[in-house]
Amino acid sequence: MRSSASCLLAALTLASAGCGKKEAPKPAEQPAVQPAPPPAPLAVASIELGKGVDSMKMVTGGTMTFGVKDTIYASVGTTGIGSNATIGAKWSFVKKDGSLVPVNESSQTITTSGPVATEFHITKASAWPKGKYRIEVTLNGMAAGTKDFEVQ
Amino acid sequence: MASDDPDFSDVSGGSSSTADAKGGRTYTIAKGDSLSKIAKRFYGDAKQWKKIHEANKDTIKNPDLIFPGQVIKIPDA
Repeated sequence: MRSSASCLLAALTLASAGCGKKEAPKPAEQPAVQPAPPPAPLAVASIELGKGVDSMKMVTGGTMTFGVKDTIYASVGTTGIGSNATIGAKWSFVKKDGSLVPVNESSQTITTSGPVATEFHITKASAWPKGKYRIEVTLNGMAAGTKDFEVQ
Repeated sequence: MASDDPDFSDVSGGSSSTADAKGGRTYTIAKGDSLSKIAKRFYGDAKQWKKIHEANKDTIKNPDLIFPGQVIKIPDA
């Protein structure tokens, strides 16, 4: 008797399953766990020139042409992470024959885990000689970009 | 430098960053500079010139004798 009841119950269960009862949804496939990409190394993303910088070291009054009494600012934008990385700025005067005359050189050592701006500036007690100038930016001693500008 | 090159000995420069600066700042000495003037500019106190001298003893033997164009280290305040 007990065996018959069990069979009946089993049959009813199967019947109800066959009458439209939906199966429990399968769990969604778990995406494969991807390791986080390695952080990007520090790199120079931009070099902007202007006559001033704000508190975020971004240039204000961006220009490529300066007056003879201006203080000249360059804002170097970097991305990525770096520890004790040295950003250098070498300012030069470009002679008519294309050769360079050193004007000034300075550097800043930074430790960062994200985008930052680093400003460099030069000023001259007497008037700047009119002509073309260049700033060469280096990162840990390697060339990272140049920008030409003019003093009129 | 050729004799007809423009004179940039009175140029001074500097830098700053939004990142953590770790004592690696440098300064190029301009005409008319002295260590006390540089200390006043960076620290607001001319008496701090000894700190700059201490950080540059390898290149500045005599603190009264510095030269335009010379690049020196500026330690953190």
